[in-house]
Amino acid sequence: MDYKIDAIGEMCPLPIMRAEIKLLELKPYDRVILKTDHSCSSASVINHFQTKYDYPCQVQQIDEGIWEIIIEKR
Amino acid sequence: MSEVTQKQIQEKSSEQINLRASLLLILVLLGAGLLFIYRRGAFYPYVFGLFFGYIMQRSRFCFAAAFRDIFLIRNTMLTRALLVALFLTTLGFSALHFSSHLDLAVAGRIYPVGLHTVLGGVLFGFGMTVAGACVSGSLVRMGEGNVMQYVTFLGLLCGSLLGAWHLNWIVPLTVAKATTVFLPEQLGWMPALAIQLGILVLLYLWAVRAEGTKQIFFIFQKNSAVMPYGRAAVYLALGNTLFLLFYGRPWGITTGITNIAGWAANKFGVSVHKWLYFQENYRLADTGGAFLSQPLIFLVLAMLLGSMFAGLYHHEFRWRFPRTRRYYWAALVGGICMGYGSRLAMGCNIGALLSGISSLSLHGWVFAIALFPGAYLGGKVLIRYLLTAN
Repeated sequence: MDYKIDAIGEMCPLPIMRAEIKLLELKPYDRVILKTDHSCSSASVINHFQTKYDYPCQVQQIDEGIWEIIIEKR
Repeated sequence: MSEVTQKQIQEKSSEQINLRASLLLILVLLGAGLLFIYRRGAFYPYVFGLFFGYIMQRSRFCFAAAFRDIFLIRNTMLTRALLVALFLTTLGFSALHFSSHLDLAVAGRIYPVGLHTVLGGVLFGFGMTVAGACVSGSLVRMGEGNVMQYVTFLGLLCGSLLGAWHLNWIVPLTVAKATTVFLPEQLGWMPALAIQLGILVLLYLWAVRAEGTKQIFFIFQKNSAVMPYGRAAVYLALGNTLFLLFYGRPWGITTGITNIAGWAANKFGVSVHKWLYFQENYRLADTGGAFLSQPLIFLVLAMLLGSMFAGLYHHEFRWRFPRTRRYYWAALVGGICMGYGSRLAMGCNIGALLSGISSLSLHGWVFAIALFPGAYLGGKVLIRYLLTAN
């Protein structure tokens, strides 16, 4: 299952915290799709979930200053 | 969004944005040229401000996250990157001390350490967590178009002014009685340097353990389009060392911000020139009391411009509005706390923490330790009032 989190207009580090809370609830291979316009989150979210949890992450810039980050729970 | 539409957006936007980035670049270079001719004293603060702003935008290097992320998400990546920056800047400053005309005991950021440093650090740590960025980070976010941080800046101006005013009473009460500890003076150069570098290495190992990660040097690896934190730490350390060499003083920001606030208050008829802070301000005396000639004001502006150029050039600039009105209050309160705290502690995460510790001054270390309880409290407020505010 994919779960969308809209974090547009949210300050750091709230997007990471919201994604973390959601991912803990999910089952393996579920995905969180997070949309953010915070430049720091576009880097820190994938750093956090890749190094700390070993979850595969992808980041894609979908518009000027807006990123979509896909995190898959393992 | 399908890949085709995404490509269209990027192609369309790249033409428009590169025009804006080019225009900004021309203006920025023109500014540098004018300063070089008419106000040489502000030339280096301006040029290095552009560099620091650019690097911090490209890397998302964040001094606030180095403290708050330990509590909030048990992540120490930026803590470790900060330790790398401190290690290299310490080496750089010491190398200058021994190889150039500079005497670090005179040129470094070495200030009295006491209760004011602790209080300032706690306030600053709280402010930067609540506001989502410290002083340097806020300037970089302003350059990227984050509206929230313009409110933080307003708070910084108010807090700095209030702090500078209160220093009239705080200085005789604590600061004047406090001791200034330059570690090489107490311990000898080599022991001081060895102990400080040793502590920084131990802290790095502690940070790796605290996070429980196996990827010890991940902060140096390129993981996305963004510059790795570790590489940014190297650039910032190099920049700060060269800034000390060319300008004669290490990187600092809040002196510039306080002088902007002093100028504004002066316009409103407050006789700030009678305040101890503005009298004792070593630069102001040289410039005949003209607030806006303080060279670090140009560094403040340039950090914003450097970040704005980086954002425009890489298609990341965007006017961003906060999700809820609460963020504006967080920005204002956080800004005031940081402004006030930085006056008490005589610097921010740059002036007191990075440049202070790297100048081997004890006040930098005390400030750094005091940031932790502040960041912890700020984290509690963040979870209680802001995480749930969606």
